[in-house]
Amino acid sequence: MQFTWLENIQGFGWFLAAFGVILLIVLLLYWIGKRIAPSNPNKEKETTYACGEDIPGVKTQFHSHLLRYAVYFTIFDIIAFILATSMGIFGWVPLIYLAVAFVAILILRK
Amino acid sequence: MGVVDRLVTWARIKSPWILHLNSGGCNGCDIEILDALTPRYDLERFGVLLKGSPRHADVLLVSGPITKQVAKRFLRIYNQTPDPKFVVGIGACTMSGGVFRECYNVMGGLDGVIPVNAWIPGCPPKPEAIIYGVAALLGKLAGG
Repeated sequence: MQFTWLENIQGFGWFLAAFGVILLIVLLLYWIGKRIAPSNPNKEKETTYACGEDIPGVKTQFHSHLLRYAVYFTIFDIIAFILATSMGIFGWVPLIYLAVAFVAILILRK
Repeated sequence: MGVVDRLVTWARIKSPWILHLNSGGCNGCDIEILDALTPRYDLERFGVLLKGSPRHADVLLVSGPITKQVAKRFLRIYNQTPDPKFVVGIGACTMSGGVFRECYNVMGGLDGVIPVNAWIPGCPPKPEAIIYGVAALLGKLAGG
């Protein structure tokens, strides 16, 4: 049974409404917590806890050459997901994504 | 107290999370604190949970004499604990230095470094005394 794009969006309507309500509840809880929490800022509260030692926060070392592998993995992982979920059904979205991913890989190879 | 204040106070009393600090004592009080947390005495029935970070703690349980080395570290940990916070000194060493009083490296009582809300005397205090002290602190908080 084929659905039009409007019917697809309407089908998701309840889901989006529930998501919106849950998000509002979370924001309300956060706001209540902010209102009732005592405010007594000091410099130490912003520092890293290190069993009382005065150790300045250290930036985590990041090896930038590993980022290339992470990007490759992300692209191919999402390609696999889109192909698996659109198997046997023609759709423009997977084709467009595959085209964009192909261009991205060509650029990354350089 | 308004309704919201009463609700907030009730929530805080029913789940006082603790951070246990030792300032270099003999560990007698530490063992008794851990005994109080085990199922035999079960401090956890009051909602008490032992946490590893002052960021999660409501109550600082301190044991041992306050040494010159640890004083500024305790002050830093106290400042890093979010409000509202309460400090409980456990054992004779936190009150006056105990058996280590007037040693070359001992400063004295805990209240010379950070404000203290409750004392539990003993050397070491029994788990029943620790539970009584914690319950008394919670009762004091309930009264506002």
